[in-house]
Amino acid sequence: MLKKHLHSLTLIATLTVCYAVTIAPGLTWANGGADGGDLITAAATGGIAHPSGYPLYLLLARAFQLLPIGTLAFRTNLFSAVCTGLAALALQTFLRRQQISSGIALIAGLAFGLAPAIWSQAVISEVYGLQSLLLILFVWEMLEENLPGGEWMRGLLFGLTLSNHLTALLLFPLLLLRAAPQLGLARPGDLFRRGLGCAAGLSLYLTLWIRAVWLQAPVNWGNPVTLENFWWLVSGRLYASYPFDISLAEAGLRLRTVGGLLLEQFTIPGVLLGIYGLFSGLPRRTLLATLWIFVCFAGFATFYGSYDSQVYLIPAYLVFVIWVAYGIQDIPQKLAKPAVTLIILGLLVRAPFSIPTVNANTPQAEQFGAQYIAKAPQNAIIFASGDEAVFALWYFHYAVHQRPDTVVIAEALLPYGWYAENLAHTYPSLRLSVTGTSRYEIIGQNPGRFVCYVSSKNLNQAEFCNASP
Amino acid sequence: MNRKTRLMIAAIVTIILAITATTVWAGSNKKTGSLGYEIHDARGTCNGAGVNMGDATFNMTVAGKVICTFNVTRTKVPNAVMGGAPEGRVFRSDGFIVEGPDAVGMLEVCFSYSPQDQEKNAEIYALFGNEQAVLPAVISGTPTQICAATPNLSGTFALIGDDN
Repeated sequence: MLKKHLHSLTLIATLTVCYAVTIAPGLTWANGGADGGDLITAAATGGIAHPSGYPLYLLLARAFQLLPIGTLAFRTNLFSAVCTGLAALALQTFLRRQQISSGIALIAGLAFGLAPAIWSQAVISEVYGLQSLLLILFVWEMLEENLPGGEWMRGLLFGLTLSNHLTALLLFPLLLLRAAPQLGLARPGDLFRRGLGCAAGLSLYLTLWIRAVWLQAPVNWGNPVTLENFWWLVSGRLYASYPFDISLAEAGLRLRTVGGLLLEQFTIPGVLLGIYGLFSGLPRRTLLATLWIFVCFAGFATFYGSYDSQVYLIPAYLVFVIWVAYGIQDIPQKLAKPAVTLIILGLLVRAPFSIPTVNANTPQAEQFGAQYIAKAPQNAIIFASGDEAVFALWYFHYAVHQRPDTVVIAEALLPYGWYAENLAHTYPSLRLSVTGTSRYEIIGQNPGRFVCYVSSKNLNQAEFCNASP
Repeated sequence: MNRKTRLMIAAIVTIILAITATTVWAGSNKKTGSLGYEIHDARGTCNGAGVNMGDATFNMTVAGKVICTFNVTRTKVPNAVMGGAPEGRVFRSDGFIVEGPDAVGMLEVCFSYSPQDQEKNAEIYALFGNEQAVLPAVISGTPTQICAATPNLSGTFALIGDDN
């Protein structure tokens, strides 16, 4: 029994140790994790996270938040680690079922779970661990016949993946393909069953409407009680201008960086074997599906206008690991042993060096909360700008319930009517102008209160509040 | 394709990747996050279209040419740098301190102008030295802006409207 599962146990044990050493014990901004405060707070308070709302993530993260260990943020970080570990395990099992040897499948699982980009997201509160898990399950379901659930399950997994992250829309063409082993479009009956499954998965978005109507939490992005607000939220319209919002020169530079990041994740032998694996007789469906995912997600990450869009490369890394596995399986016998040894050595030698890069045990976000929330004068209005400052303040103020006397306002959201509604509901004593909610109107309407400012760009300012109300 | 050819291709592509790779992910011109586009609070981009501070834009021309060699600093406490708002009026924007060259030219100052700003008769105020003045302005465009021009290339600017 133990021998049968030795490879899986080795994978889980290795990832558990590595993730345990580097997981954030509390709120963190490490590894691009500024959104953590928003996601944790929304999950903990029955609220709605930033667009597209992340309904599946919020439900599952809440379940982890009920565990009786560590801080609220730690428990949510743990959710990411478990999802990423399960994704690596699912990848390993999928490869075994694709006739890849158990040793190579183990290497692939380790190469995925210990890739710095994957590891860095496994130890903070973010949606990408869950996204990796759902993606590999979807790929597995699409590439293997006779799995439980059949066509309905294929649709359900697509719907669930899309209810976690909108980039899953890039997978839609794969959903139209016939299930293994044939190529071509799926039959209408199969498409119908997939459609039903997809609708079931997407129905999770309705929980956002339920949250807005019944719970009205302070973090209630879009307040999706109307169809217009609901669409604004789930379609991610706030970010509609981000795709292709970069210059050609920047896109060129990013494409070169994709190569650099691949080398960073898998080392030179890993990249060589991955590219070799791509030409090494992958089953045609596997080749088509993995190549599609790699090209689409690499392209999307390259042309998406946010400064941290390299995180969208994670699905590309995942399918690259599949190519690596096929590459090792295919190389001539006399080269196989040195190649495997090189990759294992690479992973073992690199792992300790990766720790400082991915380590999320950094105190800045926690210190920020302790300093700024604690030193704000009684009943102060705190205007915050920038993801780090706003979301950290939301965490300490709404989720951990520090300084309930203060008012925390995200300046960037003031132009939105739904945010004014949220503020009015969250702070009944705050006077809001009927004509608008600019910062100066709020200050003017609430003359007895101190006014404080904090920005992500200036987190260490000594004085951040007016000297008098 | 035999194994040798495949290995050769893989080796060549890997070498090209290793040689051309960079590790810095190029950022976009506008800093973006989950809260949407961030308002610039330092010097914005120029590119012939003025220094963009998000809710205010500053265009400077000297000898008929657009120049970018001037600094704009935002302050969230405009009354401290503008010497307060006139009686019965309040600030409706941050304060912007413009430091231009010692030259003859023209500075155009534009602020985002909401229906609420219009309702409160908001105007562009400037402080040149110790003199506070209302700048004659034009309201136009979609989204609506209020713009004023001045031959003073340095000064402090803010939007001020009625209190009630």
